[in-house]
Amino acid sequence: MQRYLIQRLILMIPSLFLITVFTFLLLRVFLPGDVVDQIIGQYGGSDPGLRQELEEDLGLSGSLVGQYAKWAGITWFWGGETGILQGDIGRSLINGRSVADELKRRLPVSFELGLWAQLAAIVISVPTGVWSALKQDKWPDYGLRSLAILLNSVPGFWIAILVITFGSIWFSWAPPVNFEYLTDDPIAHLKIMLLPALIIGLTPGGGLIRLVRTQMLEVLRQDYIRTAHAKGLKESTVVYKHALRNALIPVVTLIGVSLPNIIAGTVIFEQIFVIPGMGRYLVDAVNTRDYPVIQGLNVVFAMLLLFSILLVDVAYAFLDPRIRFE
Amino acid sequence: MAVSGIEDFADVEGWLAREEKPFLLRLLSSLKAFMRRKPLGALCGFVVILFMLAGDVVPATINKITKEMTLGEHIPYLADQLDRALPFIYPYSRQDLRARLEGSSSDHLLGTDSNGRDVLSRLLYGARTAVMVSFGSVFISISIGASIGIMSGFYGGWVDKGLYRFVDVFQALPGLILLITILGLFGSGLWQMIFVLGFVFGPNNSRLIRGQTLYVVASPFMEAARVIGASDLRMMTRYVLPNVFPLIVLQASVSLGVVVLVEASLSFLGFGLPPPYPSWGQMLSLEGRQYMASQPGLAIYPGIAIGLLVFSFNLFGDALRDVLDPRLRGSS
Repeated sequence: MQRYLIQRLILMIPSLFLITVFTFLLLRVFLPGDVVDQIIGQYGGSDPGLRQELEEDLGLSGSLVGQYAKWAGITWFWGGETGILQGDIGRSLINGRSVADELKRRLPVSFELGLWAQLAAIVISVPTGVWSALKQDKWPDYGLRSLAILLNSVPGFWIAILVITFGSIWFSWAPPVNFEYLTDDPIAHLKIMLLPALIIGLTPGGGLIRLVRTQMLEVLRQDYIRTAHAKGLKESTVVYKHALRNALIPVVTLIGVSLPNIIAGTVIFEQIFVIPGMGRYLVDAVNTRDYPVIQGLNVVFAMLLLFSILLVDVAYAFLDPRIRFE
Repeated sequence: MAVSGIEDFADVEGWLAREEKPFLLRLLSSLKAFMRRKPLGALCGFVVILFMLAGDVVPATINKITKEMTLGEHIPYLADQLDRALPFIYPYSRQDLRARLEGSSSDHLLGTDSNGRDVLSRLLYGARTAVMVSFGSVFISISIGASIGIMSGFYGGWVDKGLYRFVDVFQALPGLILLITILGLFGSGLWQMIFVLGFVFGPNNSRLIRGQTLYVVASPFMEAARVIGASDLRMMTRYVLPNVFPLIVLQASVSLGVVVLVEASLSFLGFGLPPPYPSWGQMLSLEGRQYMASQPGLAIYPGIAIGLLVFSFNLFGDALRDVLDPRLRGSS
């Protein structure tokens, strides 16, 4: 198990490297116009030395490889400035705040929201999928399958808007505006996160229902299930103790597919429900053209994604011992 | 063709003649068979075609091509024709400031928004955005994915390993985040969105196609083709591609639904087409959110449009998959 974990971690390193290179190239090479020109234009100043200073300050001087090395923190080992490897993701152009500091508060919020949403998706899909499989080809099955496709098709943010709209019309309810952190006020925090997580989880939940159903159907046809029935075990024992455990293994893989989408997708819901997470940070940064923040956030999101994929793969290896020895 | 279908000796003539039906008639009869076997799928296919017509996919593409070649725009758009013919369809930017935020009336079948623009017309023109972006970007992304997948599976070795790493990076990229960054910084427009969406989602499609290519390449007829001297390109296009085609169609139908939702999300956040060009996601964000208390229709109708289109794409894709290749039959 440790060997597998270490193997996967080592394999992640080239991917991480490639991602940082990709993000760097995207924002440095393909930028429209010159950042420094824009800043000088915005804040005035005609001192010729100013341009030089700004360029060095922002790390835009020198060769492309040199710039990348400075940003990634490779030059730190030779007495240069800190970079990504040391945890310095850059500073905002707008208010000078360190990105890493800002992320200390925002990243946990987004990640937690993503986890709650994934949990909601599982809670919605597993019982529904199991029931759909048990009543295969009868009316509940057809109804639930159509519902699953429907959930997967409608945009989640639309459901969020509808909930807020009709919640206010019918129940005079409005989503809470002041955000509470988990450490400050856990009860209020959970109350704020509950509804968004539920709505975010609906879309992947719809997709998961069909997978759970297929897996359940396959497992129920196995011989050991017939043996269990022949032994005279109760239906519920057969389903929950024997069938479900084996059916859920590939579902872990699909969680691996849906979790990245959830994490990337929280962007929209953070806007709607006014949650101070990484998504809003990115949208604000893009709107104000805050390049260091944009660059840093892209890398952080990609790393978050890689780690969640790793988590899922480890869980998969834990459940299915055959994987560890490939 | 079953031998038992032949009644007597003379019937052999009719049997051969039946086989050599022209392509169009064969297409029609397979369409009829599809409608009988999968009525829901056929219905959704019909809805997809309706959306394609309303969205002017063909006229817009042809007009763009001819415009690039400086031949001018010749093909008329259906939406414009409807606008001229029907009294309750208006140009999408026409404002009637005396009729703001109204409900359904005989003049405005679905009401108006805060600028007095007719909702139904904006839905109709918004179909063009949704359909153009989805078909255009899926065409690009499937082309990229199929090329990478087939080349990867066909050549194997270092080509495969190298492309695999490349695809891995793309799979680890957070899609929406990257799209927001690119479209937010470089500006957005119809064709920018098509190309960016196509390129960002392209390599992800190559996984399954690569798997299927590996399976096909192991077949004996590939070796036979090599023996008679077929070139690499010929083998890939005439031998591998037709066998991978059902999987490509399946991927395309899934991608279509995903892209429509992604485009709606981007427009919702403000990174889609700039106003006044209508897009369903943008209709939801600007009008829907602000005025949902007084005119909830503004928040409901665009969402229904999006959901209906994606639902039809999904069901149609499912039906196609079930019909084209039973081995691929998955969760449905």
